[in-house]
Order: sequence, then structure tokens, then C-alpha cells
Amino acid sequence: MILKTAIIGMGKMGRIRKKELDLHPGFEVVAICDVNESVRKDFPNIQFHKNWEDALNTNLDVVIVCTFNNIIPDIVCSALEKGLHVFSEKPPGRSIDDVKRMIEAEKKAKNQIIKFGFNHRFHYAIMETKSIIDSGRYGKILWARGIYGKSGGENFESSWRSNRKLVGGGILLDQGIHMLDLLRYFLGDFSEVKSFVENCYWKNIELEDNVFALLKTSDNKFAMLHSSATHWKHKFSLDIFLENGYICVNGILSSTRSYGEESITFAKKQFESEVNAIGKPREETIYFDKDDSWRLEIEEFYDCIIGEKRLTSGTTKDALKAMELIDKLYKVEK
Amino acid sequence: MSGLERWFVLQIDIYGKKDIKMIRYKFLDTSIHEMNIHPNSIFSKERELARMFVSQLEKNNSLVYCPLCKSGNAELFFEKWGQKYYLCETDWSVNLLPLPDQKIMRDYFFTSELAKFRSSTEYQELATRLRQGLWSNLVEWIEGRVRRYVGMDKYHVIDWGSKFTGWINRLEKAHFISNLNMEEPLPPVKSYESTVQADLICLLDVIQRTTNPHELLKKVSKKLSLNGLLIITCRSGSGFDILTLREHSDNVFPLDHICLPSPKGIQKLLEEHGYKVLELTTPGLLDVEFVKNAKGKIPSDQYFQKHLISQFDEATLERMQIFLQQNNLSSHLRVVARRVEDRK
Repeated sequence: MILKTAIIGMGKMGRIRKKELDLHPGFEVVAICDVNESVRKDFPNIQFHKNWEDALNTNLDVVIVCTFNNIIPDIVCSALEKGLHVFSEKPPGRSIDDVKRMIEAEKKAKNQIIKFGFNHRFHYAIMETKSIIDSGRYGKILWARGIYGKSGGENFESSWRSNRKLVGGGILLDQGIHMLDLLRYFLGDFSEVKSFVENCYWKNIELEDNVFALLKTSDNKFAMLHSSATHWKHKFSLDIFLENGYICVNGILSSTRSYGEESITFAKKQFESEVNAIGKPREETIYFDKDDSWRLEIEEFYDCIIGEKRLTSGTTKDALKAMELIDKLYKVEK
Repeated sequence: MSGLERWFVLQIDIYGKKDIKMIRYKFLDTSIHEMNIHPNSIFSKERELARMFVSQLEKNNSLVYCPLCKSGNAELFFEKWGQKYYLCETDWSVNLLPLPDQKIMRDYFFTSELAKFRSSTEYQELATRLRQGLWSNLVEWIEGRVRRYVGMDKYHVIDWGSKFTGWINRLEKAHFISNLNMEEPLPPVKSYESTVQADLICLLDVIQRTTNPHELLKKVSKKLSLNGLLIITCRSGSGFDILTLREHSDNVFPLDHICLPSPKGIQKLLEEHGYKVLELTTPGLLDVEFVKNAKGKIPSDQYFQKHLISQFDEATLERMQIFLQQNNLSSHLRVVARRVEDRK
């Protein structure tokens, strides 16, 4: 089954998504849309629209939304109304209300799939982590610590990412949401949070550049999160400590490899050992040289559309939970 | 070509062409040493029995071709006990050529003095005692891969070519197994053939002692369900210790070691038989130690290796072993593959 597809927003993410859609035999990109007219020349053989409403009025099965956060809910709701399947980049809008709007549209829809791009769940190190946790070999999770930091560049203050009207939140909503989603994915829902939401360095923007957060689930699992736009060296790290062992994910593969190699180090707790001192267990590390996350995410989306799979990640529930957490973290600080 | 030149050619071969790495391992276990696995008291007897058997074989000078890639592009690499090992210049596999016939193989593995010695209770009990830790790690690793690629359930497993009763006893305790069969075991392990296709086949240290890897893969494929997993461990001919020590490598000898594929060679073999390689790594722990333990036998033209072994401390050698692990240059090869196509 070939699905006629439109991509709204042909910036960096739109182009990444297009590349994967072109490689997948089940999608045919028949239309693209961007407010920037100059994009047209890069895709001479595809129907081009400047207005997303016009794009949705073409003969379509699927729409991929890669726009600024402020118009995501309008496009998603409109596409669902028209009976289209929807894949949207994260974050899912700018607020909880945005997500609730989309959930209402989903309820009225006729079994269409709506999926948000919480892409990190499809990285091999994360999949490996999930597999180890689910196997139960290390027992229950005790606590986790996630750091996701990037260096805001020279034009950070004037970038669209720093425009509150367009995006709704700072580094936590933009990038930290991935780490929050992963913490939820592994530890479950958080019932209590504490946070500092700060402008440590970028003083001329009205959005935070650092969030330091503590989170607790109702069954007493704890998480620490640092989301930063002043991490001059890009960093992704997620440590998960369980009753009988630990898992540390370091680095996440990206096109520029600026977050380093992607690896997972894991080990059993060793209190008694003939060869190792306590606190220096025998570790195993797996390095991943390949990032198939974009492909795997699109494959899952397709399989859900044709009914071969049930949507398990990037659901509207995941989107709502992530946004509720972000909202709490912003409000606690106030 | 000197050892160092070979080394650099291998680097270029691995990095300059199609990259077959998707994941790499780093794993140090300071409790595992050559003497723990091959204690001299028993391993020297084992080798001597093997040597006595092999030395009676006829010397054969017929044409040679690589049993893996079928090319005739092989050069004599070294001789051991009157038998010749060739390095295939196409895929960097090391093979004993010409291949021994099936009768010789059967005698060697089933009826020879060596076979009797290996079947003995004393030998099997010692192997169990020495390898318990290794086997536990191996079972845990297999379980981890099964969970990762197939999911949480119980599966029908075939262990192909088992030679240790202790291994079978350990494996059948694994949580992920519903039924366990043994195909083509060596004595004293009893054959327990499966009448249906399995979800998972373990081919542990078997390819290295086969004269026909293609025929072996065909037989294995008949017993493995479509989308089933194949787990392989094997000695690799392109590993650091083998390329360095050649005939002086104590733990590579005829007829236990006939076909020593490189990562590239085994990848090609599996793809030809309808498998998709999910992981191909060389997480060996002992390459550098093997070379260090045989430092007096390092061939005279291996200056780099001599320099490394004689001039550097344990920490450097440990880092070297990690380098070998991470770059598929160790001689202990591990593969996880999925059978994705029916190939006749």
C-alpha cells in the first residue's frame, strides 16, 4: 500500500524526514509546503505550496508536520479532520492545551494514526537499554540521571528557537523533552517534581537556557535532569541504576556526531569479587556506529497505519505526559 | 609481506571499503587468562595427541581454494605439523588447505586417541570447572541478544556441534529456552535431533573446524525457522594473535582449526545463505596475552609486535586489547544473524 504524503515545513527536520520517506516503499511524497519560496527549487518535481491549508487540500493519505511549534496543533487538528494520518515533530505544540486540542481531534478521527517524533526511543543504545531493563536481569530501577546539553551558537538569541511566541518554551521544551520522555519511558510517570529554571548565560531571551530538575515517581524511583543550552561541548548521557546493576548511555548519534559516539555501558553490581574491588565491577560497553532511528521511526508509523502494529511510542498520551511534566517543572520554579 | 605491512593492509581493508561494523564491543575481564582456559597440564596433552594424529596424514599439494569465498587467491601463510595454512587475499580468512576428507575428520573427532581423551570424564569435568564463568557470561549474552532481537519469551533452541556436556547442562538452565536439541555434537555429548525448525541455533566454535562452511550453513538453515536467530562464535583468521604468531600460535592447530574466517568473510558467507547480520563483533580478551605468552616465538619480522610486547606495561597492553576488540581485529569472532530468506 503506497501512501500519498505531504511534508509541511522543509527545514532541517523536513528534509531528514523526506529522505527517509523516499527510501520507504510505502510512502510517496507528493507535496511539500514551506513559507520560504526558495525551497521550491530544491524539489523541482514535487508539488509545492506556501500555505499549509492548500497542501492539505491535495489528494493525501498522510501528512508530516515539521513546522514551528506554534502552528503544529492547527495543522494536526485540520489533518485529522480531513481523515489523514499524522506524524508530527516534537514538541507537540507549546502547551498542555495544545496537546488537549489534538487529543480531542484524535477522538473524533476515524482510526487514523497520530504519532509524535520522540525519536530517541529508536536509537540503538536506548533500545538496548530498554531490552536490558525489561529482561529483569538487573532488578528494579532505583534512580536515573539524565543530562542533555547543547551549545547555543552565535545566533542563538536571534534564532526562532528563542522566540517565545513561536516555540512556547526554552531548552527544556526544545531538547530536554527528549530526556523527559526517556525518563518516563524507563521509570514511569512522575508524581513530584522540583526544579530551577534559569537564564544562566543567555540574558537577552525570554526563555530558559538551563533547567535543573528532580523528579520522583509514586513508587519511589528518582530522577535528576539537567537540560542545558550552555553546554559548550554537546552532551547526552543517561545513567540508570537498578537493584543489581547499572546502565549508562553516553552520546547519541547525530548527523554531525557532535554528541559523540553512542554507547551503552552496563554491569552487574559486584559486592564480592576475587579480582575487582567493590565499586569497580566488570563492565561491558557496546558502541553503535549507525543511527537508524529516523528509518525505524518512519517504519513503525507505516506499520501502524496499515494495521500491522499498535502504536506504542510517540502517542498523544506520551505527548500529554511530557507536556504536563514540562508545565509542572516551569510552574514549580515560579 | 612483513607482519606490520600485513597489519596495515588489514586496516585499509577494513576501513577503506564497505564498513561492516554496526556495533563494537569493549569488555575487559581481568579474571580470564589463557592458563585458566588452557591449563598446560591438560592442554599440552591435547595438543600432543592432535599433533600425533595430524603428523600421520599424507602431505597433499593439490590446488587450493578458499572454502569461504571460493577464490584461488590464497598465499601460503604458514605450515604446522606438515599441514599448510593459506591466507585468502580476497577476504583475509585463514584456511587449512587442501581440506582433509570426511573420513579423516570423522576419525579425528570421534575415534582418535584425542577424541577419547576429550570424551573422558576427567577432561569434561575440568572443562566444566574452568569454563563455568565463561559459560555463564555466554548464556547471559545469548539471552540478552535474544531478548533484544526477538523479545521476552521462551524459544526452541538447537545447540549445533556441542563438545562439552557442562555447556549443555548450563545452557538448558537458561530462562529463554523451552526446548533444547543437540545436532551434530562431538563425543561425549549425545545427539538429540530436532524434528521441527528451531527459533534459535547456536553455532559455537564450530565453523572453525568445518571443511565446508557452505554445506554447514545449508544444514543449519534447514533447521532454523525463517526470521530465526543464528548465534555464532568462532576463531577469526584476521585476529591479531594469529596474524602475529602464525604457526607459533599454540591454540591454532590442525584439525581443530581448519576454516578461520575474517569478519568480512563470515559476513559474506552468511549473506550468501540468506542471513542478515545484526551484529558482528570481536570481543576477544586474550589476543595480546597469547602474543605476550609466546613472545619468544614472535617471528623476527614482526617488529611492531615485538616492540609492543617487550617495551610496554600492562595498562598499554590492556588498551591495545580494547583497540582490537573495538575495531574487529581480535581473533574471537561473535555474530548474531537473522535468517531472512530461503536459499536453496
